[in-house]
Amino acid sequence: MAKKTVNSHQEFFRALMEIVAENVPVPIGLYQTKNSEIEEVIPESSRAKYVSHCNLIQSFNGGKQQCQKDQLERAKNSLAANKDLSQDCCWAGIYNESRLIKIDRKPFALLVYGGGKVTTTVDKQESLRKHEEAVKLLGLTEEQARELRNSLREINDSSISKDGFLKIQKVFTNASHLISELEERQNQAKYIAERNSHEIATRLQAVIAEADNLVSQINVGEITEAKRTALSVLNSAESLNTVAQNLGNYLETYRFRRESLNSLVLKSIKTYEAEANRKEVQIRYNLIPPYDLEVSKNHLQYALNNLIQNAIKYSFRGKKDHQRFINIKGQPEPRFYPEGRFYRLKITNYGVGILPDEYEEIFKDGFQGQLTENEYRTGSGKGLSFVKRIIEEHNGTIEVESIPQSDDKAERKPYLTRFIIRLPYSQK
Amino acid sequence: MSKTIIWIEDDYDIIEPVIYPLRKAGYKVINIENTKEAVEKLAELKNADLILLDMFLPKGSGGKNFGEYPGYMLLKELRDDCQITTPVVVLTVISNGELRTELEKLVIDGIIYKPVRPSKLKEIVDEVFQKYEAK
Repeated sequence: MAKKTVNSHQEFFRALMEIVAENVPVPIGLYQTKNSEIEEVIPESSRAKYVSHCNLIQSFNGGKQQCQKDQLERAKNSLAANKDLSQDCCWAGIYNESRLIKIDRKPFALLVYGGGKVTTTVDKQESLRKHEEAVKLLGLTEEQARELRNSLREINDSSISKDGFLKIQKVFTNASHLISELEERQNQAKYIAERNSHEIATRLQAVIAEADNLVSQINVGEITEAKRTALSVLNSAESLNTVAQNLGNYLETYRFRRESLNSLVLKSIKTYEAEANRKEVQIRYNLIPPYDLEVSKNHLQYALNNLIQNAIKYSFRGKKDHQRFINIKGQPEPRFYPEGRFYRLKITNYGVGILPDEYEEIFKDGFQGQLTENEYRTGSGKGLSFVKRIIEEHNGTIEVESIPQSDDKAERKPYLTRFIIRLPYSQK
Repeated sequence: MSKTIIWIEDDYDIIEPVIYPLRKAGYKVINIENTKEAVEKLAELKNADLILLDMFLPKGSGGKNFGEYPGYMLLKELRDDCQITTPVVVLTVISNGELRTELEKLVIDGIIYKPVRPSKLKEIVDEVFQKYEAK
């Protein structure tokens, strides 16, 4: 998909160049640096506008190759020089003008047109000098050299007006900005998708491994209920992997119904219990009724899964003499109790924290906290942005606080991180 | 003497169930969690019989940033700078043709895409060892 888009970017520039080339009296070309190579776009209609001097020199043996080499070299130099406007003489004695297209003050492309006006004596001398060098380089006969000199004299100064060229430059600059932004977004999306896929496959890996080991432990040939179940888990997990690979954004329609928040929390705990056990982190929970809320069940389950999984993931590993806990506490919002307008849920863990200036950022798509940088590279940075969106769709709020703790037994500096979710009982 | 396999993998919670059949078969499996630890344990990597290598790896506190695919860059460093020739099997989620080509240039004995069945992983590991024993 990425490749197709890159090709369409190139096609877009080519199409734009065609339109411009058809409407200007001189040949025009676009040069871009791609992987330290210069890429040239010269529309066919521009080639048809080459002056007879160009056509003549290209008709001599080696002339065409030298033209190509010279054009690319001059474009490379102009891009490196980072000058907005420059005029230079080609190897055959014809002046070109070029304008730089910049993105964020950096050269992005070079727009070059032939037919820069030769007005000064110095320019004329330079043009003639280049012409003589070209004659020598190509090893032309006297007659060929004379013919070439005549064609150089016959060049009529034709040019694009300064305003006209500025307008063309502006169109290309705007287009380049758009293309560059699209490319950046595309790369970001690809990176996030890759990390998401990694995260899912990793969780599935644990399921598949446990199920496969269970199948192997049951004697060969013996078909028991346990073996059937293990095989079923194994197969389901493997089919889920296929689904996960095709996963896009979570776009299911919200359907609000009264559900037990307690049941949803319990289900999430069950899902991640094995993961917590492997890390020797105990999940403690206590939800005070009433906890029947009007929610979109699948969405909220998804949000809770994300929050509980994060709490486990960023917890420090438990030790024999140092038990770790994740606390999930819920109660009707005290301010409105006993009327019961909001329910408040707190999920607390102890481990890798969030810096205060990241409290807002952490809910942005693709964001990863600074403190997680050295520890967990594989998080998608997407989960909490989904969680926030889901909570807000429920007309609720989510906040986070992460407070540094002092603990001599901790392997690194621990933080007590708490997500506080407020959900209304009713969506009316 | 039992063969030693080093698995460079940061998702420690998948390691135990995945290596269960390998351990049961008598292989010694050691885990390295990040690129920093790997760079510090060059002697172990050199003496190991096989390295299983993940592509997404954390650098570890104070470690060197190995870029977009730290596992690939680590392998490049092991092969090019440290002359470590231990057989490597890449165990990854990323199915990227370009990356595969680059990995193959660094001489690897296979790429396994996660999630993998542990029984399948054991089969592949056995095959790699048989291949080297036959040489």
